[in-house]
Amino acid sequence: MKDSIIEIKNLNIEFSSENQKVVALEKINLDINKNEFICIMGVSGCGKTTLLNALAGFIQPTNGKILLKDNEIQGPGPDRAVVFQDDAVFPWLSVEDNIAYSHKIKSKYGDKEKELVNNYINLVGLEDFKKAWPRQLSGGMRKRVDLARAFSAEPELLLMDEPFGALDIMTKEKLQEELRKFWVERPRTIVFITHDVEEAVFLGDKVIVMTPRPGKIDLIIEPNLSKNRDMSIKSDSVFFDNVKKIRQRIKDH
Amino acid sequence: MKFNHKYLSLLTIIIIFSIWFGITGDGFALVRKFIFPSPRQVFEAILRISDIIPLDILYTLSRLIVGFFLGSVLGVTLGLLMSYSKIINSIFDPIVESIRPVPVIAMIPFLIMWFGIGEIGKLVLITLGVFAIIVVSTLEAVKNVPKIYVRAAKTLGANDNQIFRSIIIPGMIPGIVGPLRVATALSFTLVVAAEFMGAQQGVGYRIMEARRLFVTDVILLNVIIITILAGIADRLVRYITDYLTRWSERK
Ligand SMILES: Nc1ncnc2c1ncn2[C@@H]1O[C@H](COP(=O)(O)OP(=O)(O)OP(=O)(O)O)[C@@H](O)[C@H]1O
Ligand SMILES: [Mg+2]
Repeated sequence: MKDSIIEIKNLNIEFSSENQKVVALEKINLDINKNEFICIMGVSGCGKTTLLNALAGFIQPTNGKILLKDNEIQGPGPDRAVVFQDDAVFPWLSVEDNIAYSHKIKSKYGDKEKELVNNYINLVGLEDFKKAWPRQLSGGMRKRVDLARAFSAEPELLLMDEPFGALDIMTKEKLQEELRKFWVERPRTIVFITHDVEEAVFLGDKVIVMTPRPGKIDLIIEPNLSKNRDMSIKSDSVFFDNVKKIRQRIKDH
Repeated sequence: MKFNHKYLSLLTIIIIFSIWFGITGDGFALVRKFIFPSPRQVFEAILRISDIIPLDILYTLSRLIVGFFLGSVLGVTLGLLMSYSKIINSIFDPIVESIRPVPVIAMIPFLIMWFGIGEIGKLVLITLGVFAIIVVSTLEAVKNVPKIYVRAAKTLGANDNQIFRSIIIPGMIPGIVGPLRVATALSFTLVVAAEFMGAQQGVGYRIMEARRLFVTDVILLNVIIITILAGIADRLVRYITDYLTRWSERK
């Protein structure tokens, strides 16, 4: 019996242009289990975004394959929602319409969908901003819209590419706590990319450390922290030991 | 001390009017009526031809509105179709690229030969001019819709059709706001030019007729009328496009 929903097998991705060839990912083998919260960690340029793009279906493997529930990934689809590093909230839709987007494009938007969308709006604490335009929100609030929009599509897999990278530390930690709480309440399979060691250890139940280019899997750590957590865990020695271990490993590269 | 800069603009207007008063027939008469009529003469012209002014305005505006509407609807439609389909793009790109740099006014003699001096030639002129601006800027505006929105929509389950309707169309609107205003101003130039080339009514026709009869106050009056209309039209277009892009950052 296997409960992995994603299987990455011998994945290689190269980019070639007329004057040079870049091997972005080399021999990646990884299984991702259902409802697992995985963080992928690595220095800038090691191929994290490339991996995420391959999972999302925006780029095709040079060699090897990625299976989603035993089917090879062909292109982007609603079973894999992405929260991009850059702001991707649709500025011409209200907060509510953004979060309802995946439902409203299907002709069916009934009471059931409305309630679901409302739940997510409340969950990210934007009930007072339902009708607001995204431009009227702060960066942190927009990120919340982005998260709620991805969650409300109820995808098989949630892909997040350094979603909090551009935020200040206070907002970032608050959103980290919220995201973790979100996930505990409504388990989903999440692949979360970051280059922030503490963020990776705080959020993930599994942290995958990648080598610099060409990106390979270097180390897989399961920090074994308590399921429900908030920032106070950062003073925990288990948390700290894991952070130290990863820091040391990256330094040794 | 707070200083309202609007007063400066008001001052400019007052000075210009004073100069106009001062040097034309009503003041020192440095400039003869024949060269440039005085404010009083323009006012008298209003009373003299008050019965034909509304009809002239009606004719001019009808031509302008129909031409502008046709040109922009055709332009936006073709621009969207060209950006949607590679085949349509390949077919129409040479045509668009070759009419784009043509100053449409240069086509007037042909338009008269082909369509006579009736309404059709005038409409074709305005439509063509507006179309050339709008089709090119629609293509450009679609290209400038950030790719990240398209990608996000794809991962949220939108197909090509839905992306086109829910991402490309709203995303390109801010890109054609400026061109729409330019096209509005251009259609005023074109409608006057079209009426110069021959008409029985219209503000442009009245100017031409007044030139033949040397009644310069009627010329100036009609210039003022068309200027005011163009100003109102610009406001209206801005009002509508501001509403359509009320979600956008700008402002
Ligand atoms: N479209 C592309 N064409 C050519 N090379 C590319 C392309 N995309 C990525 N690369 C190369 O692949 C490597 C990995 O890039 P990637 O964007 O995946 O890094 P990353 O780990 O996400 O870095 P960062 O943390 O800075 O976002 C880089 O060396 C980059 O130059
Ligand atoms: Mg990246």
